[in-house]
Order: sequence, then C-alpha cells, then structure tokens
Amino acid sequence: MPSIEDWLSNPLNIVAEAFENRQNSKEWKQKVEEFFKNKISDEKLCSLIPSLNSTPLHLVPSTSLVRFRCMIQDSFEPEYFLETYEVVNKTTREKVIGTSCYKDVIDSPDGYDVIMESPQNETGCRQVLFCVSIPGETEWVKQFTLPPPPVQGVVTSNVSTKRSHDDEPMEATEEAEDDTNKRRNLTLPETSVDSPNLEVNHPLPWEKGQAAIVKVYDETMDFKVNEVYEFVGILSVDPSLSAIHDTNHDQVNGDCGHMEELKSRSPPASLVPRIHVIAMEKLSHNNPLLSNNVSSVPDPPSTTSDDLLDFIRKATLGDELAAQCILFHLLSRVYTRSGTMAVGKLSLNISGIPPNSPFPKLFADVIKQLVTKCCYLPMTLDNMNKLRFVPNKNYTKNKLEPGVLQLSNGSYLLLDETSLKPGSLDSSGVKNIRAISTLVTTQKVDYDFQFYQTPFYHDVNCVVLSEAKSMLPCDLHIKLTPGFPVPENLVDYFCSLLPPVEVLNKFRIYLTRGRMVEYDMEPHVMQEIENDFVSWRRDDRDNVSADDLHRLLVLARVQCASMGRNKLSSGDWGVVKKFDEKRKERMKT
Amino acid sequence: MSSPDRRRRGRQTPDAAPSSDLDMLPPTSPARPVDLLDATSDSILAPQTPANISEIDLSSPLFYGTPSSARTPGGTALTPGRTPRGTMTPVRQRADLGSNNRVRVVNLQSDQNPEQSRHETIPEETEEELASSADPAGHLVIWGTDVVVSRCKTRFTQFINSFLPSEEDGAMETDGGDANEPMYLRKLEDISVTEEPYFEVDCSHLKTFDADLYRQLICYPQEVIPTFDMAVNEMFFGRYPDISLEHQIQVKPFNAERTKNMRNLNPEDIDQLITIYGMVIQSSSLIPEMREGFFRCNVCNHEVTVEIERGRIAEPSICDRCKTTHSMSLIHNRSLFTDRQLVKLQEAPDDMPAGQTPHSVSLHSYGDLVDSVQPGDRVIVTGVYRAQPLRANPRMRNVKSVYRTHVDVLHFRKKDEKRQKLYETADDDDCQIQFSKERVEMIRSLSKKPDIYDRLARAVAPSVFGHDDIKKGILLQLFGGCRKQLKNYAKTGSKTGMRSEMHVLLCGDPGTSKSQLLRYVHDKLSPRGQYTSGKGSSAVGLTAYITKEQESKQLMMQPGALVLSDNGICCIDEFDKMNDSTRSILHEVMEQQTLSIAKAGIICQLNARTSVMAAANPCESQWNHKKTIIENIMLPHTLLSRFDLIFLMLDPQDEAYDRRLANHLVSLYHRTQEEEEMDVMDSEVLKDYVAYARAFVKPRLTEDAGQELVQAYVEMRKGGGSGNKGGVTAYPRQLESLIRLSEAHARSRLSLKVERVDVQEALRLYREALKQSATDPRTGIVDISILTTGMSATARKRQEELKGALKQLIDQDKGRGGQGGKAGPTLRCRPLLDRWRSQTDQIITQVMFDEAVRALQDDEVLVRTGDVIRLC
Repeated sequence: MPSIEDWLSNPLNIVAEAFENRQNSKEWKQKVEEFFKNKISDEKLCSLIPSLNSTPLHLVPSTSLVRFRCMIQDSFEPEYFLETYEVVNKTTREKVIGTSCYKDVIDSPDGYDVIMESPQNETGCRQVLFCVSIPGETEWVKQFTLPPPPVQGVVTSNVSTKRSHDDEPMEATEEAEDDTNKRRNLTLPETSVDSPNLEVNHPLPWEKGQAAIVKVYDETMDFKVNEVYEFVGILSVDPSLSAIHDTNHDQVNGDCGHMEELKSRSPPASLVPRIHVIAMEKLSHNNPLLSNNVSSVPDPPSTTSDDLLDFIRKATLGDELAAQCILFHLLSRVYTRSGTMAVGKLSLNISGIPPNSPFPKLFADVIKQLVTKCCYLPMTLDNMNKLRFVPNKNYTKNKLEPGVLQLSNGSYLLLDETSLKPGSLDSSGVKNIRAISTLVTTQKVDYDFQFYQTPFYHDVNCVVLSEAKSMLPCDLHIKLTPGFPVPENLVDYFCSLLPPVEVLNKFRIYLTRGRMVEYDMEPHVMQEIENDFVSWRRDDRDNVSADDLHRLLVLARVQCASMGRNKLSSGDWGVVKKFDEKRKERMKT
Repeated sequence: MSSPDRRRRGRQTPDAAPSSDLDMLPPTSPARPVDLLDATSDSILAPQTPANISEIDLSSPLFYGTPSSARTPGGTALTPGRTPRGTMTPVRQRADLGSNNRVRVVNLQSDQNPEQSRHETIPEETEEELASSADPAGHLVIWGTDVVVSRCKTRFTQFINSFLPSEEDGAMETDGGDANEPMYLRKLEDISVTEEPYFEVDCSHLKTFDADLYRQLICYPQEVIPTFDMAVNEMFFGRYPDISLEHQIQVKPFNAERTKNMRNLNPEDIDQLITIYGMVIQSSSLIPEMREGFFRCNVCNHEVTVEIERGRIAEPSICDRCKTTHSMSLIHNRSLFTDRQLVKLQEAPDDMPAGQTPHSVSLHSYGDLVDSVQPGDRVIVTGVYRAQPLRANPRMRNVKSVYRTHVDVLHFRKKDEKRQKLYETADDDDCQIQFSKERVEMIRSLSKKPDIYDRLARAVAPSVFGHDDIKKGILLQLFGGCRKQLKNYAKTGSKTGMRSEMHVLLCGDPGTSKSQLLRYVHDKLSPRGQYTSGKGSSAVGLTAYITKEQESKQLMMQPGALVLSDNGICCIDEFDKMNDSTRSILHEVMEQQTLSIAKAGIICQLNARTSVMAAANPCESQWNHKKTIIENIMLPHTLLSRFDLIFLMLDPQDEAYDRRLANHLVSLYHRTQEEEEMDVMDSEVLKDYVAYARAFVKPRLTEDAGQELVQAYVEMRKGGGSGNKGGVTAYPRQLESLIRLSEAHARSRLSLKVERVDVQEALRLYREALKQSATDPRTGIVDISILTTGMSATARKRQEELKGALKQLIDQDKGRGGQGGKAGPTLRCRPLLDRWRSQTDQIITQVMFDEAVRALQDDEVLVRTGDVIRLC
C-alpha cells in the first residue's frame, strides 16, 4: 500500500500501478477511483489535500492531488485523447504500453518514441469544463477552508500580508477575530493575476478568483453551467500546455483564424491549471459549517431565529418590520418552476434610504457575514454602462464570456439603486437594466449567443436598496423607518454590531439550513388559505389580486422555514397574514 | 492517414497474410529520400507502407476510363492545369477525402467466402492490370477494411442502373420525371446537361438497395467513395463520351443514417461518414491549399511538379537533370492550389439541453463547397469525422495526448433548399426541425387520442388558471391556417394570397394574467417569436431601421420585431398604449403580411408573415361593462377587425371562481414530485407537436366542411343583426377567419382533411370570442358590426334611448286611445315630434326622430307611411 505522501503528492504512481495490473480497459479506472474515494471519505485525510481555493497555485506541485470548490462557468467540447498508447525504445525496439488518463502530456521516457499508429492505441474521450471559484463567495467562507499542511518548503514569513481586498472596516474586525479563533499559519497571497488577464474568466470582474480547466473522465455525468462542484483531482501545470502562446503564427500550420480559439482554449497553465478529476461532489450549498446533505443537520435551537432577528434589527436601525422582511428574504429560494413562473422567489425592495449614505455598503457587509455567496452591486451609471451583465458567447475565442449575472444558485445579489445618479444609460446600460429586471421577475437570464438567446435559470436572491420605490419590479416592498435616531457615525455603529463568531456561525447554519429545508402544506391549512382568499376578495375585490396571494404563499413558506419546520401550520399562516397587514399599513402612510 | 482509431477497428489487419506480390505500382513516397514540406496540418505521422502491400492510384485515369485515359498513366501528366486539349476532363484530386488517393490493396488468402469471389466481376479497365499481377482467385481488399474495390464498383454501378425511388421519395425528388426510371441514371443525364460534376447520393437509398454496401460506405468512406467515383465516371463517360467536364465527377453522399446530434459524437465515429445538424456560426476566409507544387532547378531550370502526398509536398532534394542537390525552388505562381475553408458548426439551439452551453465542431470544406454556407445558416452536414493529434510544438519531445477533431465536409444541405422545393411548407421554417423517429411516433400516437385538442389546450400556460377558450384560441393560433396561393399569382411569384396567420387580441382587466399568457407563448411555445411592449416600441422598432455602419459608412437595414418574427408570433403587450403612427404599420402587416419600407433611399418590401398576439388594457384601467369594446380599449375598428379572435379576460365577479383560483395557486406552491410528473403535457412536447403539425400537415377543406362553413356564414350574415337590419353583421373577412380556425383545428388532430367537426369547433370558439368581445352592452346581443364597422356605439346607444322614449310616448298615446282604425291607431308625425320636444329638455332633431321611428318600424311596433304612423 502506498504511503500517505505518495497518494497525495504523486497520485499518478497509483494510477500507473493500477494500469499495469489492469484486467480490462474499464475496470482499472474504477479501482483508481475507489482507492481515492476511500481516502477522501476520511475527513482527516481529505483535509490534507491542498485546496486551490485557499492555496496559491505556485505552492502546489504539479501532478499532486488538489481540491477545488468551483462553479462551472462554461463547458467545452469533449476532448479525444490517446487513452492507451505504445512507446517504442529507439535503440532496443522494446515496446511499452502506457496510459494518458489523468494527464495532459504523454511523457515518453528518454529514448522512447510514441507510436501513433500502434494497434494498441485506444482513443478515449473526456469532458472538459471551465471552472471558476464560486463568484461572490464571502470572505468568511474562504477563510474557513483550513490552510493546507505545509507542502515542501512553504514560505511562511509573509503572515501579515494584507489581502488586497476591497472590504474595509468590517473586514478588519473580522480578520482580527479570525486570527484569534483559528490560528492561521498561512495567509492568502492572491495568485499573481494582477494583469487584467482575460483568460481567467471570472464572472465578477472585481474578484480575483482562481480558474481551472477541469477534465472529467466519467462520460455519463451531465454537467450544467453554473452548478457548483467540489472536484478532487490531479493537478497538471505542464508548461507545454501553454506552448501555443509562445509559438508565433507562422510556425503553426495554416489556420491562423483558429489561433484565437486555440489560445483561449489552452490558457497558460500557470494561470489556469488543469485538473484531472478523480472524485467529485455536487454541492447544494457552499457553507463549510454544514455537510452537503442538509437534512442530516440537527435542528438549530429555537432561539436562533429570535437572536438573528434581533441582530438584523440592529442593522436596520431598529426597524422590526424591515428586519422581518430581510429574514424572510434570506430564507427564500426558488423551489419549483411552473411555466414561466419561478415559485418561491421573493425579491425585496427596501426603500427610504437617503442617497449618498454609507448604509448600503455597510448593510451589504452585514449580509456578507451571514450568507455564503453575496454580490454587492452599486448601480452606478458607470457600472450599468460598462460592466457586462449577461454572459455572451465569443465565437472567435469559442468561449462563453461571463457576465455579472452568471451567479450560482443560492447567491445573494444586493443592488444599490441609491448610487444611480442622473445621467444617460447607453444601449448596453438599458440592456443591462432589462437583464436585471428579468432576473428579478422570472429568475432567468437570457445568455447571448449572438444568433439567438438561450434562457438559463437561476436562483438568486435579489434585494434592491433604493430611495423611493425601486424601478425594478420586486415582490416585497418595505420602507425603512429607523426605530431610533440614526447614529452620527454609521461606520462605527456597524462596527460595533458584529456578534462573536460562535453566534455568527449559528446564524450561518440556521440560514443555510432554513433555505434548503423541504416544504409542504397540510390540506387543512390549504383549505384555510383558500377560504381566506375568497373572503378577502368578497370584501375588497379591487385591492386583492392573485399577486397578493402569491406573495402570501411565498411568505408562508419562509415563515415556516424560519421556524425550522417543513410543514406549514395554520399558526404560520396567521403570522404571515399579520405581517403583511402591518407591512401594507406601513406602505400606506 | 494518421487517424488514430483507424487500425483498431479495421477488420483486416495487415497480418492477414497478403500472399502474392502486388508490386505493379511500387510504393512511392515513404521510400523516397525527400525533405518534407508541410502543406497542411494533417497527416503529420504518415503510416509506413508495408512492403507487401501495393497501391492503386485511384486518381489514375486508368481507373476512371475518362477520355484522357489514353494518355500516359504517370501522375505528372494528369493535372488539369496542363491538359493540352480543352476537350479533356481533367482528374482532380478530392481534397475532401484527404490527400491520399493511393489505396493500398491487400490480397487475402482465399479464406474468404468463396461465393463472393464467384460473383465478382472485375471491370474491364482494371482487369488487365489486376490480372497481370494478382491471382484471379485472390481477394483484393483495401488495407484495413473489408472493401473489395471491384465488387464495390459493380454494386454501385448496379445501384445507379436500377435504383427506383420509393413512393414518397419519388414525389419529393422528381420534378415531373418518370418514377419508373432509375433516378440516378437521370442524375447522370442531368450532369451531362448542367456539366456540374457532382453526383449526389442519398445514403438512405443506398441502404435500401444494398445494406452491406451502405455499411462499407459509412465505415470506410475514405476508400469507398473514390471507388464510387470510379464507377460513376466510367458510367458517365461510357454514356456521354463527348462531354468534357471541369473535372471528373465526384460522388457526394448525404443523409447518412448515422445522423447525430453533435453531442453524441464519440471516438467510435472517427473516420466514418456522419451526418450532423447544426448552425454555422463562423467561416474563415479562403485558405489556398497547395495541391501540386511546382519546382524549378536554380541551376539548369529543369521543372518538376510534385503532387501533394499525405498532406505534404515532397520537395525534390536533387535535380533529375543536372543532379545538383538542393537546387530546386518552389515557384508559387505555377503551383496549383485548392480552396479550403474552415467553418464552425454549432449545435442548434433546439438541440441544446437546458442549462448547458452549446458544443461546436469545426468543418473543413473544400473546392466548390467553399463559401456555400454563411454564418447563421442551419445546415445538415455530411462528411468524414477526423481526429488529428495535436502537437503544439513539433520540436518538443513530449507529445500532447489530445486530438483535434474536425469534419471533412462532403455535402452541405441547407435547410432552406428543402423549403424552396416544397413551397407549401414554405410558410414555416419549422419544417427545418428534424424529428427523431420516436418523437414522430409519439406525436402521431398523441394525435390519435380523442381529447387531444383539450389536452393540447391545457398544456398552454398551465400556470394560468382557467380561460380554457382563450387557451384554445392561442393553440389554434400556434397551429395556424394554410397559406393559400391564388393560382394565377403563384407563377409570377407575387405574394398575393390569403394569409394563414391568425391574430389574437386579449383584452381585459389588469392582473388577469394576460401578460403571463403572452410571455408563455413567447418563451416556451413560439419557435421564433418576439416580445415587445407597445409602450416602449416605436414604429421603426417594429418594422426596420436604417443605420450607418461605422466602418464601411454604408447604410444598413436592421430588422425590427415584426420582421424578426416572420413565421413566428409577435407578442405585443400593452397594445393600447402604442401610439397611432406605430399602430398604423400593423394594418399592412396583419392583412398583407408584408412590410413596405421607404427610408433613406432604401425602398423595399419585407416579408412579415407574423401572427400577432396582443394584449390590451381598457383605457379606464377597469373594464366598463356599460361600454363596447371599442370604447373600452380605444382601438380603431379597422385594426380590431383584423384580429381573428378577440378575447375578453375579465375578472369574473364570482366567488366560486375565486375559490378555484385560490385552489389553483395554493396547489402551485406545494406540488409534490408525482404530481409534477403527472402534469399536463410538457411544453416541449407541445412545441414539437405544433412544429410537426405546421410542417407536415396541410389540411384541405372537405366538401362537407365547406357546406357547413357556407351555411354558418350565411346565417351570420342574416341572423346576427341585433335588430337593426341595415347593418351587415359578417364580412368575408370573418369567413376567412373561420376557414383558418377550422384548418388549425384539423391540424391539431393531424388530420389532412378539414371536417365538419373542425368547422363546428371553429364556429363555437369564434362565437365564444364574439360573445365576449362583440356583445352590445345595451342590448346584450352579439353584434359583430361593432368590430367590423365600429358603428359608433355611442350613436347606437343614443338611438336606443330615443327609440325607448318614442315608444313610451306612443304607448301613452295608445293608452289615451288616439284615433283608432281597423289596422290599429294612427298618429301624425308632426304633432308627435312636437309633443316629444315639449316633454324632454333634449334637443330632438328631425333626423333623430326619423331614426327612432325607423328603429321602431324595424321592431314592428309601427308602420310609417309618409307623415302617418300606424301602430301595429
């Protein structure tokens, strides 16, 4: 049995060994996979595998085992490769058979030549995916991934390097806490991608995420764009992969037109490494505090809900109702689709925020502490006109270029309308606004394939902060009315808000779990709802429409989820009715 | 060829003991001491030719039997550029099948089926040669395959000579030709007339004729197609010896059964003949590829031409005449090139699984196929799937284990071509859609269900509750009627005809899910739809606008929503908020189905065969039941009358409805898994069903149905008129609507005949729509003239009032017992009018009085003769 170090740092040995002892062409791969699955299922061993999310690429040696938690940004055409090949010794004419599974390059030993025409050669096929680190993954999630064990001679001196991140004061406090709670023997010096290199296709241009080309050998897997996976595989950063960038045009035969495409398809391996997948898991959420299977998590203590509400109320400056709205919103999720309708989405509009206030940013920081994926987007004219929101297909590069709205399911999108100043939107700005509006109303984005558009379905919780009622059609609208005088220095106030990490963690678990929880209705509650609706309609036909019922039904689900239950009770329904009543009351005045 | 998977699959390995020495044509290039000059990227690693295998030069005239075969069979004298006499048909290498036209032949021991060899007849042209070297009993098989050249040729010749198309094919392909004549012989004849040296072969025909030959074609196109070429050329020049073509005839197979979704391609398909379907997204500029290099010695000016060999031109390292080494230099101007183009084909949007990005495949097209497709075209491509090892840098030791794949195109079939052929289907692009057999089967079996119409209707926007008739209307709109071309015009190509598209208008209270229906139709059902909002769209946005292109400074026309949704459905929300000038364009589009544009020097007429589906809100935000539709939505009746169906979506003030609505909504939110599966038809199925019906079902009116229609129309014209006999209540336009609706209903059953039931349902639906939209609010009677003439409903209303008042007045008189007579009491008009004037503070004019009297006369309350009114 190979030692730990061996399977970690040189997994290809195991592959080669299995290949040599193979009985047929299929079975040995399964054996390899089983071997590694066994290792990975042991949490302790698994944590030994360096993760590309937290370890800079240059610290991980090539052909060693890595983990990567990522979102599929684009899928390429399947790749044909020499699965088995024969090499011949130039002098002795001795023939050896090898496999190029889990590697990019046939590394024939010195003095050997590959026989391309050998009858032993077999062509295989593997899926190729372009993956990026999860867009909008919040800082605490990133921090949480434990630093890897020291690999080789890791430089540990640059501990105090400040991460080049744009989060300000909140960040500082959080970092301090993190430092006290978890001793980090490594900081995260961002990979040196300072140059605006377009090869790293990250949806959020301000984020410096890792990207990788992931090759999967399981042909039966059906990958969809925007799904989140954790891959475990063999890292390949062979410099010859980027050779295309070194050769100039004349040397490559003929088709210069396809150079662009070739280049984009094989970006420098030092920036975009290749990962040959051995094991993978589809993630339903990226909360590191919870296992992937949410239903196995025990119920949180019932006080959490109140504590969390209390915490949010502080962030809403004492506005109870708004805090309730936000909690409901945090728990909402598209749980089914019917026709064009995304059932369960609850877009929120918080109005009454004065322009030029630091509130939206600070509020976003609070949200970022609670959720795992959050994107704060000030809707400035500049942003609206210049950023690419909708992913579009670039045919010269043969690549899907990401847009800001290419977010994985369960992301949180905070739109700050207060930063929209008078000015004119150009045509791309108008298109962008329209795209956001479609996302808010139907939870889908029409990706631009130039000749046509294809809808991609998302589940992104959208909240709009605005001065007056937002221009985007939201399901739930609440005007923020502070419960106490607004503190002079909002920044300081928000700094003082954060509870200790243990409490935050409780909130985080509570939210992720609440979001994912299954949902059902009792027949008698359904009956009750129907009766209520009929009687409202009888009393006030003009003001009660189907839309109101839609909203209430969504609210009922999140109320139920906030209680940690998965069956709607008539109590929940009562709470929801009262809540909406109060909200309507507020909106009238 | 350096295709990777080739040898593995080959049925005969070289070890299959080739016995006799077949050295009649010695192996050429590999043995030659030459410098290799790259001409193409393919075939980097050419296989070594085993010594015991001979080569047959398939491009040799000996094998084609062309008139030029009299000349010397050396490779150099064959090329077209140097043909001394113009009457010769030059032999040109087929670039699309790779450069290697020399086929290695292996003679197998007679371990093969002896029966086969008995059947074998070797064509004359080759017999001599083969006989000279090979044992006649031997079995010549192309190396790595099970293809016997001679047998293959014979079979193909037989195929051409005797293949008769089956019934439905015959109808499609022949243009008035005799179905009993072998269709491929006629094709040869066509070639002799058109002098286009391409011979297209439908693989499905070949399959029905000889499955084994077909299998060989699919598995070894590289070898079999040149063999076919030989056979065709022999036949052709045998029949038409005097004709000279641009080059020899090339066989272009298409419609291989291995029709694949791009996504299903896998290594098994390498080097096989495949047919895939997709959309062209990119095409490169033309790449000249050297076919024959021309070298001249720098010392003695000796000239040599070298043909391309496995993708390379071998530069002669030594001059034949003066024996100087490395003195030959390439003269570009005198070398020969073929055209090559790289085309990118991407999965068509309809084939793309949800949530995934499309795959693409690169195509290499050669010769005449260059520039035959444009980006945006949807094409069916037949070609040979290739894989080449990808070596980023040839100098590096390590070989990248990855292959690059492409398709060498043999045949493009644009979807549009088919469309032109069958102009009846020209009213729909959906006929492009190819359905798999299972899908067609499913659709057919669905259509057999008795309740298919209701089923389909239910599948329209299942999330919208109720409104069954509206959904049916939308469904029929999706199906559409049949385009009728007036015979006299059909020939001249004029667009005059009757429209097949139906228009539907939904109007009603806000919040009655009109927009939801629109959106659903646009998102899920309509193959080519546009969604606009009346508020935001301008006239140019709907039609077309002219822009100046930045680079070329040329005027460009950009199509608007209506043009873009040609053959689709244009959904217009907030129809009432559209301004008048914008709306006025719709007049032309909705009836003539064209759009005339005269802007910035561009005057043209565009097709806009668009179904309009519009939604309008009442102008008072809530529907006023006391007003007619015209008053409620403030649209001109000229426009309204163009809608086939106008539905009112009103909030029924009804508790039972509320309850059902609530139930429906609540159930949306707690759908369990099984329920979802049981759900009504999937929107994809509906979409395919509609597309299939539109493409393949062209129902015609039966005698019976025609009668029914006539009767219904006559009834409408005489019956409907709400009392005032003057108004005509139905116009030919309504009859046309009815015909369209009946046809659409027949289509929903995939019936080729419009029958009585179809007409009945069309009538029912039409009446239903009318009942909602054209009900006179005063009388409660359905009155189509509201829509057709717009007969100012206010006037009607006032007239109604006047009539009532007059009636009352007369009744008073009656009660008082005026002058009596046998035929009833009579009145004089003048005093009556005076008394009426005195009783009301309204101004009653003589005209108004006359109208009221006439109305009462119509009601048979009285009879007026001159100044005297006699009560009945």
